[in-house]
Amino acid sequence: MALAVSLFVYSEPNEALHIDSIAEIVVVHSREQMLQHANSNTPSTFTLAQTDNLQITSAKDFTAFVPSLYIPEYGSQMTSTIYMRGLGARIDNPVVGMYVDGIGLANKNCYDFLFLDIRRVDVYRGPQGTMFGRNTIGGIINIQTLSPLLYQGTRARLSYANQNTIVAQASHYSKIGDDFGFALGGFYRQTDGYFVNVYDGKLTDWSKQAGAMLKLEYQPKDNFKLSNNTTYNFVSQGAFPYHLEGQQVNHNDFCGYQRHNVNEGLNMEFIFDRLQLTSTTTYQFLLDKMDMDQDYMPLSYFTLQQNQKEHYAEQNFILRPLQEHVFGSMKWNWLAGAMVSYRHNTMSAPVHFMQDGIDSLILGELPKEYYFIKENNFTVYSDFTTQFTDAALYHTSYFTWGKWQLEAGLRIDFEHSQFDYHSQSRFNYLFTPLFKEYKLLNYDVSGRLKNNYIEFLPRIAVSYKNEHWKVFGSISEGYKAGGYNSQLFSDIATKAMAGEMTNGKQEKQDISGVVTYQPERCLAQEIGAQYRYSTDDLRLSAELRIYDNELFNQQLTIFPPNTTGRMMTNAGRSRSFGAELDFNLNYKGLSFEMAYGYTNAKFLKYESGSHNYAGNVIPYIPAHTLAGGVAYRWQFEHDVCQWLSVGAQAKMVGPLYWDDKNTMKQQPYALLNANITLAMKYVSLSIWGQNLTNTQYNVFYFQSMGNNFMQSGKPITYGATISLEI
Amino acid sequence: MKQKLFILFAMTIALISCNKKEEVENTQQEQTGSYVGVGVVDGDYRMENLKIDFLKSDSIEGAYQLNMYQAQFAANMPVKLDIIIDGLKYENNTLTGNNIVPYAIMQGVRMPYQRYIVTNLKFTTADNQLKGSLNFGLYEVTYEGKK
Repeated sequence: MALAVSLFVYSEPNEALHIDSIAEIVVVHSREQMLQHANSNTPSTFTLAQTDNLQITSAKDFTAFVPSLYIPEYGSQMTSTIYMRGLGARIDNPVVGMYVDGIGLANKNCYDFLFLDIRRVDVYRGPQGTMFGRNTIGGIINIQTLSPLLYQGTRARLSYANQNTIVAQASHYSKIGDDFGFALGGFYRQTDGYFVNVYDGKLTDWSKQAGAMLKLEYQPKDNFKLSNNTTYNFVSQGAFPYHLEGQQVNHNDFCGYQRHNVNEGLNMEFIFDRLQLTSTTTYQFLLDKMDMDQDYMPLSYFTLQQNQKEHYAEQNFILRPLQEHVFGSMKWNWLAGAMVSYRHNTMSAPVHFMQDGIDSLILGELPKEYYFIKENNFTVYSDFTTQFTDAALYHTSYFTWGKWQLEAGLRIDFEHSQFDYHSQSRFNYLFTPLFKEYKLLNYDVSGRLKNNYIEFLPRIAVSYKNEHWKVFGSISEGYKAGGYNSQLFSDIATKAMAGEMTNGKQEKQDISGVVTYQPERCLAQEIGAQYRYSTDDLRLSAELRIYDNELFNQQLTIFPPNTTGRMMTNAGRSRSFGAELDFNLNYKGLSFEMAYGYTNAKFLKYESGSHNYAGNVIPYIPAHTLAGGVAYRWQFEHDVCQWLSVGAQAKMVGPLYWDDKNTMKQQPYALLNANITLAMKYVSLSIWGQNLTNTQYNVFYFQSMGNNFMQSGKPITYGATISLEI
Repeated sequence: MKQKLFILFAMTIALISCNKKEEVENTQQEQTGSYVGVGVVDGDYRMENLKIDFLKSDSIEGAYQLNMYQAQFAANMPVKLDIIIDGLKYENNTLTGNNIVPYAIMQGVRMPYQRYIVTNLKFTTADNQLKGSLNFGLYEVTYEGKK
C-alpha cells in the first residue's frame, strides 16, 4: 500500500488570509460560484501557497494529494492520462475536464502545461456532467489564476535543478485607474532529461518549454465586468523513453513531441436588475507533431509521425439570480445555461515501414522463398478530418430548508460528429509461382462517417449542514464522448495489403464498424461526511467519502471472433467503488495533512474476442493512493528575515496491474520530497528535492510485437529556487 | 469330411475377418468428412467455428489429409489461411503424422509452408467427432470438432 507522507509549509493564519482570502473575492465565474453553493460537491482545494509548498508545477503533481487521483508522467506532454476513482482513458477523450478561469480546455493534449500564477485549484471528484458536460465522468480540475483587479505587483522566480533544469518565470500585475487591470507574464523551462538512450549515448527526454499570458480586466460599472485571457504555450521535447523490461532505453529513430497552443477566452458579466448573465467565449488553437520509433528498439521496423491541427470555438451563456428566492422557510437558488461548440481537427499520421519492418511485419508470415517486395521502405499515409458540433442546455436548482439542501439538475447534450478519412499506400511485390514480374499493390480507401448522439445528464444530491458537520449524498450521471479511433487504420491497412498478397484481392471492410465508438456512460453514487472546526490558533477539517461508479457501454478495443484485426466496441461494463479520507490540521506554526484513496475497479463484462476478462482488475488504476505530511514554520520579528519553514512530502501509489489479464503488476512505491524556505521582505530562497530516496519504479507498460515495454519513473531531482515578489 | 469342415470353418473365419476389416475400413471411411469445432492455440487463443475436412489424400496413395479452412493462429494475424496437411496415416480411428510440410492456399496456388512444419499430429475419430492436437511450427494447437 502506498503511503504518502508530506510535510508542507503552512502560512500563519494572517498571512494565509492575504493569499487565501483572494479566493473569496476574486472574479469567480458563474458555474464555479454555484459549485461553491453546493454542500454536496466539495472539492479538494489548493491555494497558491499550497501549490508552492507541495511543489505542484503542473496537473501531474496532484497525484495522491487528491484522494484516488492518479496522473502518471510518461510518454510526452501530449500524454495526460488521468485516472480518478477507477475511471480513466488512454485514447482520445479524457474522463476529467480541465478549466482555467472558466474556460474548458478542449483537447487533453494541452492538459500538461507549466502553472503560472495559479491562485487556486479546486479538484471536484465524481461526475460533473450536469454542469460541465462531456468528458467529466471522473471530475474536473478547476484552475483560477491571479486577477489584476485584485492583486498588483511583480512576481519572478528562477529555479535551477539537476540535469541542467532551469525554470524562469516573471509576471507583472497592474491597475490603471480603478476600472482597468492588466497582467503580462511569461515562463521558460528547460531540462537535459533523465534517461539515456544507449543507442547513441544521449539523454532522450530533454525538454524546452515557453509560454506567455496577457490578462485584461475591465469593470467600469457595478453591473458590467469583462475579462480577457490569452495564453500561448510551446513545448519541444524528446519523448517516449520506453525500454524493454529490465533494460535501458535503446532505439535508433527519433522520438519527440512539439506543440504550439493558443487559448483565448473572453468572459463578460452583465447584471440586470436581479439577474446575472455571464457570457464565456473561447477560441483554442492546437498545432502539434509527434514522432515515434514505433518498435522502440535499435531496429529499422517502422516509425510513426502524427501531425495535428485543431481549431475549437465555444460560446456559453449562464443565467443566475443575484440573490436566492425566498418562499417562507425555503430558499431557492438556480443556474441555467446554454452552450454551443465546434471543433475542427485535421490529422496526418504516416507510418513509414523500413526493411526490418517489411521483412517481419509485412512478409513475416508469408513464405519468403516465394514473396518479395521491391522497395526497401514505403509509407502508409493516413489523413483524417474530424468535426464535432455540440450543443447543450442545462439547469441546476438548489433548495435550502434550514440546514437541509436539495440539489437537482439536468443537462441535455446533443453532439454531431463527422469523420473523413483517406488512407493509402503502394508498393511492388512479386509472388514467384504466379508472377513473372513485380506487381503494383495499390491500397487506397477513403470515406466519411457521421454520427449523432443525445445525452441526458441528471444529478440529485441531498445534504445536511450545521456549524461543524456536513453529511451528503448524491446520484449523478456523466458520459465520455464517442468518436473514431484513427489508430486502427493501421490494422485496416495491414489487413487489406495482407489480403491482396495472400488471396489476390483486398476484401471490403466495415470501416465504420472498426473505428467508431459510441459514448460510454457512468452512473455514480456517493455519500460523505465532513467536519470542520476552527479557532484563532487551530484549524481542523476531516472528510470521509464512499463512492460507487458503474460504467456502461464501456469503450474497448477488441479482436472480435471470426475476423481479423482489432475494432472498437462498446461492449464493456465495469464497476469501481472505494473510499476517500482527507484530513487537515493547522495549529499555530504546525500543520498536518493527509489524503487517502482506496479504489476497487473491476470489469463486469469484457470479451476481448480471445479472452474473457470479467472479474479482472482494471489496469493502470492504483488500489491505493496516500499522501500526507507535517510541516513547521518559525516566524521571526526581523526586518530582513521574516520566516523559515521546513517541509517534507511523501506519496505512495499502488499496487496496480498493467494488463487486462492481470499478469503484470506494479508493486506499491513511495516517493519522498522535501523543501526548506527562508523568506525575507521581497525575496525568498528555497532548497528542495523530489524522490529523495531515488525510488526505482515504473509508470507505464505496454506490449508491442510480443515484447514488454516499460517507462521508468523520474529519479531523484533537487534544486534551488529564488522568488521575488514586489 | 473333417478336412472339408475345417476348410469351411477356415473360410468362414477368413470371411468374418474380411468382413470385420471391411467393417473397420467402412467405419474409418465413415469418419471422413467435414467437422466444425474449436481450435485452441497454445492453450490460449481460440479459433471458433473452425472447419476441418478429413479426407483421403488426393495426391498420396493410402494416405489421408486434413484441410483447415480460414485458420487464424493469433488474434493479430491479418489474414486467415486455408491449410492442407497431407500424407497422414490413419489406423484404428487414429490419425497421425510427424515432420510434414503443410500447404497453404495463396492466390489460388497450393504453396508448401515450410515455416509451419507439422509435428506430433494425433487425432482420433469416433462418434462423428474429431479430436486431437498438433504442433504447427511453434504453435501448439488442439482441436475438437463434430460433423
